[in-house]
Amino acid sequence: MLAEDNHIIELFFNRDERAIKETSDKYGVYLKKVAENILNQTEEAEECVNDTYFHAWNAIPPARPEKLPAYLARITRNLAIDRYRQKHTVKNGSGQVALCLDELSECIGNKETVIEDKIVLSDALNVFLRGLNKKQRDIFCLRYYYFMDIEEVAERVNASKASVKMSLHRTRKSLRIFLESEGITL
Amino acid sequence: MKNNEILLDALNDIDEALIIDIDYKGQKNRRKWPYYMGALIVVIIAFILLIPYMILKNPHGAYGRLNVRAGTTISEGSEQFPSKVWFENYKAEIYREDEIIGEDSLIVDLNDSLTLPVYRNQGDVIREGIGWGISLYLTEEEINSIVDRTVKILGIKEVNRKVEKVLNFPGGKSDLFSNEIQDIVAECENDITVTVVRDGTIYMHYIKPHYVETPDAGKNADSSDSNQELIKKLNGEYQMMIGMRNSVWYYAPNEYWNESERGVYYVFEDSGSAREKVVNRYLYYAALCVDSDNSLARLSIHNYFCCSEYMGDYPIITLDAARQLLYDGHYYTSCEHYIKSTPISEKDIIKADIVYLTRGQEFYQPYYKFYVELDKDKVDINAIGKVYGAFYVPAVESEYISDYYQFVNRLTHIGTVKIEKPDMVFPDGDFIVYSDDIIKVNDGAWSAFFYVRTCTQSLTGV
Repeated sequence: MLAEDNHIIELFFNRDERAIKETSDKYGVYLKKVAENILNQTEEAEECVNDTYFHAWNAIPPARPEKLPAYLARITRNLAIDRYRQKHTVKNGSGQVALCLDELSECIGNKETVIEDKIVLSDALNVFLRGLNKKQRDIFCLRYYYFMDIEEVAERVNASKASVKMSLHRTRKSLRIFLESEGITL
Repeated sequence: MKNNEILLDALNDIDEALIIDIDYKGQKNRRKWPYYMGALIVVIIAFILLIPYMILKNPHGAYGRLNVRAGTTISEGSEQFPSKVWFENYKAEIYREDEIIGEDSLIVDLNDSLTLPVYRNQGDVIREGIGWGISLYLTEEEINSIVDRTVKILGIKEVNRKVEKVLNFPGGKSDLFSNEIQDIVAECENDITVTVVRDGTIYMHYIKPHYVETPDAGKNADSSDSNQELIKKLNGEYQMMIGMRNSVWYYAPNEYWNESERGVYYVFEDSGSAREKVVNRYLYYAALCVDSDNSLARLSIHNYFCCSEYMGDYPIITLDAARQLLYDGHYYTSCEHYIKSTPISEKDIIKADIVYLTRGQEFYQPYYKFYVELDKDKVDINAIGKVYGAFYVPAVESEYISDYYQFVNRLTHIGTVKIEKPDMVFPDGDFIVYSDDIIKVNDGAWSAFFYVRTCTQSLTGV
């Protein structure tokens, strides 16, 4: 029987080390998958997941996540991207991250950054994503947040690969137009 | 750091509520073998059950991709969408009396289930709500894959394969997609061709001749024994290849008046419910076109699920409510100019049906289709008896339709218009011009009248 998220969070708040075990039991596989999508390497993904527990332990409290899996995934994603960057100072063309970066170049370019205000960019992204319908948003998140390959995204949203590709293409195109309209320099 | 990397980072800060919850069923110590064993047993059972099906007609498997269905889980639609009609082929949709057959059976069946699904067309090129009749959806790889499978299933030898680009077709002059692939054609032995367009539709031309003595076939599929004989033969030959088990056949008139094609036999899967029946009939079906010399001139398989997104099921208005809208002038038609009496009244209507319009439509949505008697003197057609035109009334409740009444003033007939520069030129010289909300069409010998939203244009002798 897996623990409820609220129970796990209470364990964190009570500084009870069972919090790590419960988190691992419930979300270990999920977080490993998130890390593997980025790193394409099992051992490193496992290290990343362990680091996630450590970070969560330090962050909760005071943080009290509303959606524990999304909160944990965010930490894992951050850690995995950092590791990815350490290994790939120059893109070597492997793994989903490289592909995603290529795809995202369509909407924001791949020049050295001219985006100064990252908070504004995050806010704009929130507004943009809220404007999408749920399916488009889910496809976008599965691809660029979780770095799933197209096939897996298609399976999860019960659509064809072509349909997913088309949705992503359209969303990227819309995002570019949206960012330009928001005055975010590309 | 590069822009795209910044964007990747920024995504990390998006609102958690916007992030999809993905399942996390896998557990560390899960014993996997029972699942694998279960799956293996299922596969073995399925294989045993499918053997007769596979060896009967279709040794290479069905059109796997074509069986993908959108919207397997029925959900309630809430998003508004516009209701417009794009009349494909730019010709007045007119029927001879003897071509209008059958009862309003689908409407009767639907009485206890007044919701129908709506789909967003993701394949067709739509400009300002108007379809161009061109789909740019599937990739070259996907089209080739369908061509491969089709040729294999037909068991014929391919001689040549060519890729046709939009450049060669109407609208090809547009810089936007002139170099886009329009379709892929496999030229095979015995002059058989297989063409797959980018919405997934497969056209097979001149597969094989049928020498069925059916002198009056095509006149009335419900009453003609010989026609039933032809249907039986076609069913026996092609049902499995098309991938349908409980097929329903019906004959429909050749609305585009191609004299070399005697008639079209449509076949769709009857999966039981009235809802599925309507949807399959118009969104997932095969069409078999029999030539005047009794040969099967064309077999096409249409699956609009593979290029559309399910938006949900929407409540539809009753037939009586739709009739009232028709009488009040709230309809779309391509034969406004031939109307016998205005306003239309009950005596003008011979039949009503519920249909989906597909190619070129921005949304696949249900319409009530009324067959309304036209003034025969105005119609340049050689027909015995009365002639009827198709009039469409949107079937979804008006609260879900964002521009429901924009076509009220459709009777603005402004006469001949000189066209300077067409947007689309057809191989036979017909052309089309787009402006803000007007479509002007020259339709050659037909001197067509074309109606879109608020506008009516008559273009003759341009």
